[in-house]
Amino acid sequence: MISFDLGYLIVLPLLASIFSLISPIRVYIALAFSLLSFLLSVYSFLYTLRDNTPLYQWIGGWTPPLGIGLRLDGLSGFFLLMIGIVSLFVALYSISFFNVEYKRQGRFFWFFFFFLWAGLNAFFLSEDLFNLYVALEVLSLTAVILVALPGYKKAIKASLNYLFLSILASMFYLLGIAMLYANYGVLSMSLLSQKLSDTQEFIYALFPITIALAIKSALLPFHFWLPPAHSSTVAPASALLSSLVIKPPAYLMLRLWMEVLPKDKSLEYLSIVLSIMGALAIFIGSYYAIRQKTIKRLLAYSTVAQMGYLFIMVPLYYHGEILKEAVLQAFALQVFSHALAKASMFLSSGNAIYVAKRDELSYMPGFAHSHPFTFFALFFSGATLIGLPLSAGFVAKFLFLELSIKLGFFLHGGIMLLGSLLASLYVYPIWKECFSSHPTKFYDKPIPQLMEISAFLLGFLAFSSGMITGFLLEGIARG
Amino acid sequence: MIWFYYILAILLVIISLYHFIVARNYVKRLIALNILGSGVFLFFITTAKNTNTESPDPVPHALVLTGIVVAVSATAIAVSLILHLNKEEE
Repeated sequence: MISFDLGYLIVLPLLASIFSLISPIRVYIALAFSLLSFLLSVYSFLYTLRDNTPLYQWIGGWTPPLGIGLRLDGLSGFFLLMIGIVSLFVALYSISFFNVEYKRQGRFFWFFFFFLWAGLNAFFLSEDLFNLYVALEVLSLTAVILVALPGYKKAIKASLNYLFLSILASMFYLLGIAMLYANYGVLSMSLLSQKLSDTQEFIYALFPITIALAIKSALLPFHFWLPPAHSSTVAPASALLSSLVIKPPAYLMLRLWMEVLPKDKSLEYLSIVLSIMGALAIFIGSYYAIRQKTIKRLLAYSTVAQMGYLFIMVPLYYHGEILKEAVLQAFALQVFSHALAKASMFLSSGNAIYVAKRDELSYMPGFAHSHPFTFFALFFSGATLIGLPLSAGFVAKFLFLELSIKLGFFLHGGIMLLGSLLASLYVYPIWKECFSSHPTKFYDKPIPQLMEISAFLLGFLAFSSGMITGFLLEGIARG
Repeated sequence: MIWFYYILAILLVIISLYHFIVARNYVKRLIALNILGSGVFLFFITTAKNTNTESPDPVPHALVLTGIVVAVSATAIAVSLILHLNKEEE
């Protein structure tokens, strides 16, 4: 396949964000650029399928340490595809959504939407710890504004708290980078991995970096900013935040543990601590999700629980060197299935709020009678979150279970199965309300077709991609 | 002499962290975060001296400059959000 400039993956959304701010025909620009960026993501994914070696490029021909290096390998190509799919469908949904609701906010939404897309692509393409910091900041600041988008007090308060924790995390991360650079003089992950072996200093740097990543990905003791932030904004923004924005820190964690950090006794303790926090996140997140009375808060707590899976497996990243490809596949598929399913669920919750004008579960319209597309969106995405057979969530959990048995972590596998059971407990009330046909709760108001179809297609893809995982994960299997 | 800067940086980080946790007022917390940032930047800049050569290492300076830009934009967003919040409350 023809090689291409990886910079386009970042420049194209950036151009779109500027055009959509200054041009009056912003909806058409948004549509055109979403399609273009999506196609470019698909192309880069297919490129990683065909090509065995990772693609390295230096922007403008400047080599590190001064220049900025970009890397495309199987794992990042897969995540580019995930970002492309979720963003495209959220864009389609938003075109219709901001046409019928929040018209004033719709004028600014596209700017931040494309900025977020550029930041995400930049994050998954960089392999330098400092470029990752810059991309992470682009992401966080855009996400903060997306939280404040509705403009009422609750949303602004949530976004301020999110912003403060986010700045705190970024300062911790920078502190860690300073320590690493002072000791080793490099920040590229591939160079660091060669220099770290047989040294001890990196442990002190790892603490602030781990705390920063835990705050940004809402790991348990730092999860409290997430539910208000993700539940108080408009549906398309919630979908982006919950499915895409919190994944990059976890991905960086995986890269660090699998590819950079050497074997060390104290790292083993840290991996156990992280996995305990992940397990607690699964239990406590699910518990609060079960207790919620409003659909968006339920989904936000479910995100806390689902992120727990990525951290409970940290000992597997640490010990799984012999099965590296399998670990990467399991991680990638868990992130992918959650991203698609959670985006579909948040978009569907937007449909429910559009019809009922409130977000309590007991006011949810009986979608199974009135709006079958939204019902099926909720059904497929819920099934993926639980991990029912055939879905992508099922394959991801199956891969994790297989790994934990192979590597001897039976407890971790068991907690994950329990998490699946808890997920079914919080997805069930949503399904139940879809069948309620009490006259006062039965709403016939039509939902714009684009909103229904895009939510449905995302859910359907989340479910059905479980059947083509062989194709999807081929690029990662080759390394 | 170099230790003076390290101790100053660590003091700044600890003091501002304490105030960030204790303060309830949004503006106070924002100021605490900015001081925290200054502490981290000072720490990073001080490491540039550590290379045992005559001239300091330029890379930390470039990185800190980027860090300052990020901190300034974050502060701008925070201030505008606080202003909006006060407008809503009136």
